[in-house]
Amino acid sequence: MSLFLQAWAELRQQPFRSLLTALGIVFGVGAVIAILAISEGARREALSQLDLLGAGTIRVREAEDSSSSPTQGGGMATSGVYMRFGGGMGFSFSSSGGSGGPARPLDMRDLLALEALEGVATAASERTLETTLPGLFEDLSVTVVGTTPGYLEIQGLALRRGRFLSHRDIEEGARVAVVGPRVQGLIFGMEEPLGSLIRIKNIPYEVVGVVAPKDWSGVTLVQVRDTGKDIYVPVTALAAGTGEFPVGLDMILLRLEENESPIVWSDAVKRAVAVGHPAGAFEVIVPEALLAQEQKLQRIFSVVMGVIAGISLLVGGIGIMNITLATVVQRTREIGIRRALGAKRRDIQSQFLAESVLLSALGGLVGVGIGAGLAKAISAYAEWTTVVSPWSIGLAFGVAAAVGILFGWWPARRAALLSPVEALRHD
Amino acid sequence: MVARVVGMEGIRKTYRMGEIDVPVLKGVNLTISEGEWVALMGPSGSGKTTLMNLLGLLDTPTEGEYTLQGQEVATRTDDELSLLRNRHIGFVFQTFNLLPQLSALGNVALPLGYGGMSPAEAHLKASVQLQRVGLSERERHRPNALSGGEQQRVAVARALAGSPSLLLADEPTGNLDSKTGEEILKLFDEIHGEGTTILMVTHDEDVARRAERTVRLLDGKVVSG
Repeated sequence: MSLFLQAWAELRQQPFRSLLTALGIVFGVGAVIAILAISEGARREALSQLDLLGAGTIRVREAEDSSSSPTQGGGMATSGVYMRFGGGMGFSFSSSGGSGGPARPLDMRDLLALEALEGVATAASERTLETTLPGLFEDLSVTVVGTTPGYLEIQGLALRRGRFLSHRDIEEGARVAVVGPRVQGLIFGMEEPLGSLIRIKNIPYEVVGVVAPKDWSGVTLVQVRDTGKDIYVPVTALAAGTGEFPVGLDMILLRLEENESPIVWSDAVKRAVAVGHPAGAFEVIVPEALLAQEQKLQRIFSVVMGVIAGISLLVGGIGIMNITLATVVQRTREIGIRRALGAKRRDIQSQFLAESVLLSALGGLVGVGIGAGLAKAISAYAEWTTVVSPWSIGLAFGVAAAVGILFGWWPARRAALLSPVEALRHD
Repeated sequence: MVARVVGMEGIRKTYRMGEIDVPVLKGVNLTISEGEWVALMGPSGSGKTTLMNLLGLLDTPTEGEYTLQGQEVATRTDDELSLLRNRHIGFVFQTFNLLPQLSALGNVALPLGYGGMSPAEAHLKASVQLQRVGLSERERHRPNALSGGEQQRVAVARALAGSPSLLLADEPTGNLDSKTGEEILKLFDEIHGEGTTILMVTHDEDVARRAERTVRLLDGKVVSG
């Protein structure tokens, strides 16, 4: 301990030089901390997205922009990964063939086919209709979702009041509705919603349940809508007036059996859908796959930044080595005096090593502060989640100390091996 | 019979300068008894410094026997020599050689620390030594805040801190004015009176006369004493 106190006293003699020497370590460690904070933040954000979207879920829908999605020749459905700016990334596939298609490329037959797949636990439909309802204060635009009972669970929604749609409701095409929390608040206010009627396209539906709010704001991988203004009705009831058969759908949501990999099953899902729609262009959205994509980019970013941080640490280490060598020359006489007073070689060596380790450790400390500040700034400006975890601080600090040992060892060794006579003669 | 502190027998030291061997000490025999004050004189190039370095265990002889307090010390490892220096030798240099970043107290405590003493104990003992040389008031001062005479007193206190068997002084008054030099020599008289064995290199016959014996070195050989 007194070794480091002594080293501290030495470093304090020339604070400016010490600061400049440690600068490389400061930036290196700062960069390491910031990178790890960004990676950790991204990891946690990814996990929370996966949580919101539902692990083990797959969404099938018409490709958002089927003309620009990569279609590969041949009759068989092929898959490719594409990325779209502003939107999400996903697996997309399309089969070339006839042009033009039905308004809703998916239908209830697809739902049944997918539900029959071995790995699929639950399937639910989504047929949406944007409309407005008279609210308490002003007209309220809502999304009417024609769906099936599994929807609640797949979307990770909870009921606040009443019940969700039942299988019987679907079979009978019952005119019942489950409303989102904002629909409840803005249409019914303080009134009892359950048992009340709402008119959708002039058809009255009885409200049988209210869904609890869910915050979707953490989801950036795919476009999601705020479910607060949803109204869920049996898909069969919503399509009743149209005479469509089979009933067309906008999206099919699947939840797989536990421990089934959605990435593995996505192929089977694609094939199953392609059977009924050789001409359709579909998007199969797998949150896990999207995250894997994003994490791949994240990793590349981390590696690149890590290399930069590594170079900074290397340069910092060389700076420390350089200054320690200079210090040894400058203090040669002191080394001679100390040796004359009985200092052993290892006393001299540990003295100089302590200085370089202390210097880099202090640089590391400052670097941790700067890195944490940088992470906060990135959070504020780029709106990325960053998390400075304790282990990253430990790692960065350890690396800094290791750099001090690594680059301080040789100059310290040189100091220790000086002959006492020569050292004393030095001016 | 008085115990022998230093016994040198046929000491040779040869430096290799490129291709040529340069003999500096050509068979020195020297004995110093306990409590003795010996002056070492000789012209430049006579080998005084080399002899001092050998006596102080800063260097090892090419040939010959050197016993210090009855121990053969001519061939020892670097670590052993460091330990022996710490235990048996006290150095006083012409240029004081205090560490500028340490206080007077820190300088005196330094060899005690290398001897394995705890910092607290070392500082206590250092404080006693500074009192002995009359610098109790100056404990916390850095060397650059002390006069030359005071600095040399600190150096003497440092040399004596570990109760060495042999105090080696290399022209201790060479960098001081005559008045201050006289004060330092008085200090040497005192510590000699207390029984410390001293070997002092000097150019000054007046200084040498204060010693009990003068050893004269010429061309790497002891010519008298």
